[in-house]
Amino acid sequence: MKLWEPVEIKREKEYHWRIGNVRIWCTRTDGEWMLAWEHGEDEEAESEVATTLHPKPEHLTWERYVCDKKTDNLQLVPVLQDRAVVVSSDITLKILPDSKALFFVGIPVWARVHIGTQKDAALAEIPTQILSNTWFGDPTTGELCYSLQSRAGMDIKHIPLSPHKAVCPVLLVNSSTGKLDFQKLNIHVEHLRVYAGTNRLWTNEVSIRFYGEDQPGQVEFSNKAPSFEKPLTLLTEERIPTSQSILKKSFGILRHFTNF
Amino acid sequence: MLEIFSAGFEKVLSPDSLMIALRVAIVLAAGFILLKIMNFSVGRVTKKRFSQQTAMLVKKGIFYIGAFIILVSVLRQLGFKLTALLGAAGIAGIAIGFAAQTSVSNIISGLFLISEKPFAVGDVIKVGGTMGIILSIDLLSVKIRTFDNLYVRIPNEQLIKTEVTNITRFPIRRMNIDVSVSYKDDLAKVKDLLLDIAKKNPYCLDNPEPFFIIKEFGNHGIELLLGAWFSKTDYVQLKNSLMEEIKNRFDEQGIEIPFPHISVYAGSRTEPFPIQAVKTPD
Repeated sequence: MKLWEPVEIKREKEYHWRIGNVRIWCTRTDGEWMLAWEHGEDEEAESEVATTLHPKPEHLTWERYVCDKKTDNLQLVPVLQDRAVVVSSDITLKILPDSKALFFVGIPVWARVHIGTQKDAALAEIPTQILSNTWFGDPTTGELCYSLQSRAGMDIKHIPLSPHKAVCPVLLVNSSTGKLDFQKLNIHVEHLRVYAGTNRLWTNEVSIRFYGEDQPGQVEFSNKAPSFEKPLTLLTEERIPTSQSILKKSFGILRHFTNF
Repeated sequence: MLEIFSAGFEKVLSPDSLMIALRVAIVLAAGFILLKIMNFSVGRVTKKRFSQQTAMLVKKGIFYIGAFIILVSVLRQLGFKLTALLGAAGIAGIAIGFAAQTSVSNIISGLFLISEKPFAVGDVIKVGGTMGIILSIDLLSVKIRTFDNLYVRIPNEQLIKTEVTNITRFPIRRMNIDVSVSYKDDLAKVKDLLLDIAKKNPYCLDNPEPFFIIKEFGNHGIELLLGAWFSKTDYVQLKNSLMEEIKNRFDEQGIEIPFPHISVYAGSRTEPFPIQAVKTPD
């Protein structure tokens, strides 16, 4: 995926990227790099890789970075959000007892800007799409998350190809005796890696097992690359490493939200 | 006279006195060095594991206990008897207590505040008309820094007696924005517009959902309330962006934000009074 490959930045020239609904400008002199970015309304605009055709608008201000490293390259690396993402489905889906369902959720990534390669220090992390804040759980003990509206399709062919979205395979297993109302799902993306396929970004698989409303769900983050596309290259590690299995309440059943 | 002085001087410089002075100096130096080391080590551990408030309390507790032990050790070196000293301290305590009732009241209030924990260091509180961030909670008073960078000392007794609002106790809050629209505006359209503004604002939480209510038919327009939930750290960003967006969208949609004015009606809704300029006769 060309968007996430290193780009040579020539001195005194202004480069421009368009990813998701963000536009990024970059320029450099000797030892000094400058970045500016702006979020627009056109969410699904086609991505553009480092062109010199779009000069920076006057109203934007540059952020300046001093760097002694002798390199001409700049690389954007896709990373996932720094806190959990609550995925809301527009239609409530009911999973029957002893049934499981695999969903694909497209999560808009952040672009981490590195001078040189991704092993070098990062200049900034820029969301490719601004997600609204949301609260998951009780008002006194819950957690602040990002909110994402998604159809959570069950067929990967129906997930649009977006270079700025990482597809997260989520396996929901209903091990309880009742129906599982899947309305909101809290995905701790800080524990997910990003892989690059030919046309898509992927994350490792998340499997969530539901044992009942009064029992915590079991969440597992796979250690392997997803098997839906091959070959996949690991682009970024998870922000917060996790043990293979963690227990967390992950289901946002309506009752949790109407208690106040 | 000179003899008395020289005798006293000799007594002070006697080997026994010098030995006592040396022992006192060693106890003081070693005690305070030990206390400093302990405070530093405990401070490092508590800083990582406990809240700022607990860390401060533990450090102060260690300091006061350590200082008391050093004082008692020094007095013993000087030949004072501990039992007599404690008895005297009790009598002195009663006398001081009567003389300094306000201070004692503040100390007791401080102990209640520490045990009840209505707030902690770093919280934003509002007491009367003063709002600020808590810098420290001490035995006599609580020190806060206001947002315009003033240092305010509030006696503990006052905090026990009056209403204190802890603004940052819970992680999320609701911002209430009062909006007025004129009587001619479509309320359903205004409601949709306000909720849409809240929904599109990234600082406004999707859940709990924004809240809308028609408050009353006021003197100058219809009073509405938009309640937007937000993370406690996003207060300024949300307030500014919401207010700006409401003004812009109302202007776009031709919705009037009424200001205090008086309209005179003749029984029913009428056209404005016709005014005609006439030429006055010379």
